[in-house]
Formats: sequence, structure tokens, C-alpha cells
Amino acid sequence: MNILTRALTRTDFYTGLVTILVGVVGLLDIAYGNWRPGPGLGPHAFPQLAYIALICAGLGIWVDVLRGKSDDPPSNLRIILSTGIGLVAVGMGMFWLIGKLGFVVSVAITLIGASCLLTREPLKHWPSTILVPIISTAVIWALFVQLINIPLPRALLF
Amino acid sequence: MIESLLGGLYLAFSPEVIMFVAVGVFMGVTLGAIPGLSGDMAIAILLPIVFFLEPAAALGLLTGIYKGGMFGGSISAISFGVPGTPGSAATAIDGYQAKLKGYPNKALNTALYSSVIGDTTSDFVLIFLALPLAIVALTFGPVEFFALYAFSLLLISALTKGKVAKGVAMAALGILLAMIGRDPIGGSLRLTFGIPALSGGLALIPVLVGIFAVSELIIQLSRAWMERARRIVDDTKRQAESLLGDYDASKDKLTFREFRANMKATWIGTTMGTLIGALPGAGSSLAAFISYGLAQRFSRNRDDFGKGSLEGVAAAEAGNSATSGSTLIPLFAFGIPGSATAALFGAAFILMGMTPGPRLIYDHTEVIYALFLILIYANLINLALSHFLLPLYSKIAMIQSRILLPIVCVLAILGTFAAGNSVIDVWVLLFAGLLGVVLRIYNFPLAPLILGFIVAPGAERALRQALLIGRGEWTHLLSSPIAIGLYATAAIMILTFTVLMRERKDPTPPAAGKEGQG
Repeated sequence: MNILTRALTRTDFYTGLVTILVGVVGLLDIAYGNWRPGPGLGPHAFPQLAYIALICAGLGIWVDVLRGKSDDPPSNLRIILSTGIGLVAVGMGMFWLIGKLGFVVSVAITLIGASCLLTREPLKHWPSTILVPIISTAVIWALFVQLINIPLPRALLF
Repeated sequence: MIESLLGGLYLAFSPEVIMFVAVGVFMGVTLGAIPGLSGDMAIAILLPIVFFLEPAAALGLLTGIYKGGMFGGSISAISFGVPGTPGSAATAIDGYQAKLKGYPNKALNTALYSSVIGDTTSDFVLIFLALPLAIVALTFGPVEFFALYAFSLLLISALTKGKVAKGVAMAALGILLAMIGRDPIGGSLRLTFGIPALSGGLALIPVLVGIFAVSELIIQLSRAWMERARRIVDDTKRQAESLLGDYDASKDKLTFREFRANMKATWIGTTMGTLIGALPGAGSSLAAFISYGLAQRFSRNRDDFGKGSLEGVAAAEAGNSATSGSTLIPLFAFGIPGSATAALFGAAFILMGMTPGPRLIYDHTEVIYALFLILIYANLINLALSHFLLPLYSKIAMIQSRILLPIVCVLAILGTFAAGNSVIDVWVLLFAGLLGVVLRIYNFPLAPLILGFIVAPGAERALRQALLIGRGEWTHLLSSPIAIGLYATAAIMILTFTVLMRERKDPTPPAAGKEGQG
């Protein structure tokens, strides 16, 4: 009982649980979902193996937890995930901006903004927060627009 | 044969290709030297550019980055005790101590020479083994091929980071991601969740770059954000400069006698690295630590290990670099990438319309001969460039990641868009990056996921063909002695490595820094 109670406090108990749940939901989908038959046991044969492997892996993670082997809970989880979501927003924002302001201006704004965010006293470190992004924008423009010639909307400016 | 060889020579030694190799080596060493960034990440981000280059030039660029990155990791390991790449963690043990004792140049040159020796030997093993193994693979049927795919997936799941259960989970997740879209045999839709944009499946580049590079970039960006307040990098720089206060450069030159004294350790590293590199999933970090341990066991000066021994640096670096050629053997012979780097090379081949596997050498003989030649002379370019630029590289290792990270992010996003000309790919890239972050912070190894994603279509085809031949009987998968042999070998190797890894005590690098995640 003590082992089980302790297991509930381990991070890997929950990673194992999620792994098993994904496998079970997948198998239920194969059993009751809208899967068509096909040659070689059908299109569900290989995903079925993968779901079974997921369930076995999840049980394996639980066995490790019961044996006292569990990875430490992640540190700085919130800041890492916020950065990730921020990057998704910045990435899509940059594409939206390219359609409005053009390639060069949008990339330069994105790079300068990101460099300023990551630098303490950004104006004091202007060579790395303003000059380097502008030079980088020129290099990226030469690479993608002049050399590779990717079809991007030219929009308002360049 | 002679015509193909001449064609390969012409391709490999064209000025354009030589230039791309040199640029690649410089980029690889530079990025490898900066903790947190790596040659692999550079390969992932530059994958889309492969589309727009000639195959030999593209392979030259990627090979240069790969070779440079292998050595680059040891520069920050020796200069600051912070391994630039996981493979150079063992180099940091003696390399950083050597630096503290006042002979960083000897340690860096020892690392460079042993890296080049290990790498070149490993390349020759690849060249001479890939073709015979490919001939064997041509006789394989679906049962043997499925066993081979299962063998690789099992080994890479079990050996990567030594976390078997999490490795298997990642391989399965990679397979499921590859199943999204149309069934290649029947044509029905699978796992699209009613989203029409997913009916074509997930493209290789956004998944690979997202899981592998963007996730690492997100973690590095969050670190840069946190370091903004702490100024860790400035402190490290001050510490590094103060250590060089009474440094006498005239006494810090590697002599031929010292170089010769390190040869035994170098060859131990080379042998172990080449052998371990050929195994799916074992990786350069394991090869470096095992080489280091063996070199210590067979050294006359074993007590010097851990105290700045050049033999320790030589063994670790040769072991790390000797994986570079042999890790490509399974890719060339069977079409199965044995490591994350090999998976990236496999993806590059696919993007260039070349299917990795036993027919690769026959169908694209000139390009593959050119690649073999590039593999060899890229080492010489690495030797020459690194020899003259070592002082500069040590300074490059101090470039703060906050300057480079936004640029690399923008390159990843634009490169992915350029490859497919699709905004959906950019969405997939960013969400794959988020998935990669979650998996990384919960300590799931990513190499099995990448391998699973890449080999899944081939493995599924082999499985379903085998089941068709066996009239739906799963036991048909055990009807071939080769298949049974592969399953048994996988089981034995997993057991052996599990025992070996439990016995091995992880020596930790002496510096306060943390290992690069690349």
C-alpha cells in the first residue's frame, strides 16, 4: 500500500497513465470506430500494433515507478511552455505580418523584437539587438528571396 | 564501375561542392562549440534548403556540418567544461582539467587529431561494409524486412538514454504520427480527426525540424529568458578569462611524442566508436564513455585519468567521432537510420528523391561515390580549418545564444515554408515543436520517435505484405531463420547493454555547466 501511495506522487506515474490512456483510446477507436477493411489485415493492423506497444510501454513505466525509478518532475515547466506558446504566436504572427508589411520589414521586426526581449538593457546592447538582426534580415532575404526565390506576398514594403 | 567512380570524383571535387563542405564544416564547428546548439540542429534546420541544391552539394553541406559538429562540441567541453554536444561530455572530464592545468591547446589539438582519426577510420568501415551488406539486404523478403525494422526500433528504443519503456512509447508515437493520412495500400483515411488538411499525412520536414530542432530552440529560448536576469554567461566568460591569467602559450604545444603516446587510446576509441556507432540507438555519448573507460583500463598512466590526461581526451573524442561513419551503415545497407543524425541524412535522401536502402548505391551510384569521397575529404578540411581557427573557435563558443536563437527560429520557420510552400507545414512545425518540448521535459527520448516516423511506412508495407503472403497468420512473421535470428539478436543485445549500462558509473563533467541537449 505504501509503495502504491508513493507511486502516486511520482511524475512518471502520470506519464505512464497518459501513455496507457492513449493506447486504450486508440484500440477502442479501432474496435468501434469507422475503420475500413483492407488487404493484409486492413489499414488498422499497424496502428493496432503501435497502440499495443504504447500500452505495454505505459505499463513498463509504471513498473519502473514501482521499483523506485522515476524521472524528476520538470523544472521551469511554466516558463518553458509559455515560451513554446509564445513561439507559436510569434511564428504565425510573422506570417501574418509578411502579408501586410512584406518580408524584409516583418522578419526584421520579429528579430529585433525577439532580441530585445531576450536582452537585459536592449538599447545599451544595440549592436546585438538591432544591428545583428538587421544584418541577419539582409542575409535571410538574400537566401530566401533572391537565391531560393520562395513565393511570398510582397505586400506594402519589400 | 569505373565510369561511376569517375563521375563520383567529378561531383565530389567540383569547386561548388568543396565550398559547401568547407562552409558546412565551419558552421558545424561553430554551432557545435556553442552549448545548446549542435550540428544536428543545423542539419535539421537546413534540410529544406536541400531541395534547392544539387544532391552532391547538399550532401557536402550536411556532411561538413556533421563532421564539424562532432569536433565542435569538444571545444566548449575543453575550454569551459560545458560539453557543446552530449557526445563530448566524456571529453570534458579530462579536457577541462587539462585546461585548468594550463595546457588547453594540447588538449584541443589532441581532441582534433583523435577526432579526425576516429572519424576517417569509421568512414572507411562504412565505405567497405555498406555495399556487401546492401547485397545481403537485396535478398530479403517482407518477413526479413519487417524483422529488421522491428530489430532497429527495439534497439533504438532500448538503448537511447537507457529508458526502455519510454523509448518504446516514443517509437510507437512516431509510428502513429506517420499513420496520419491515407493508407498507402487501401487508400482509406486514418487518424485525420476529420481535418481535410491532414489527409495528405504529415510532411517529413515540419515533423523532423519541429520535434528535433524547434523543441530544443524553445527550451534554449526559455533559458535565455531566464539568464537575462542572471547573467550566467558573463560570469562564465569572466571565469574563463581569469583562468588564463598566467597562461604560457609557448609551453602549450602538442609534441609528436605526446601525439604518439595517445595513439593507443585513440585506436581504442576508434574501434569502440565504430562498433557502437553501427548499432541503432547506442549513440556517440555511450561510445565516448565506454572508450574512455577502456582506455583507462589499458593505460599505463591510469591514475592520470580525470586529472587532465591527454589519453583520456583522445579516447573520448575518438570514440565520439568514430560513430559518425558507422552510424550511417544501417541507413545505406537497409534503409534504417540508426541514430537521429542518420535519420536526418535519410530525410535528406528522401527529399532529393533518393530512397535510403539497399538499392540506393545501385540507383544513385555516382552521388553515393561522391558522398563517400566527401566523407573522407571533409575530415581533411575539418583538420585544416580547425587547426588554424582553433583560437577563433574558442571565442565563438562564447557567443551568447540569445543573439543566435531568434535567427535560427526564423530560419526554421521560413525554411519549412519554403520546402512545401504551405502554411499548414508551418503549423505542423510549431505544434511538433510544442510536442517535442513536452516530451523533452518529461525525459522521453526523441530518437525513437524520429526513427518510428521515418521507418513506419516501410515497416507497415513489409508487415502487410508478409501477412498477405501468410494468409493473415501472425506466425508467418517467424517463418524465416533470418527473422528469428534478428529478433533473438535484438533481445540479447538489449539484455547485454542493459547490464553494461547498469554497471557503468556515469562520470560527470567537472564544471558547473550543464550538458548540451543537442
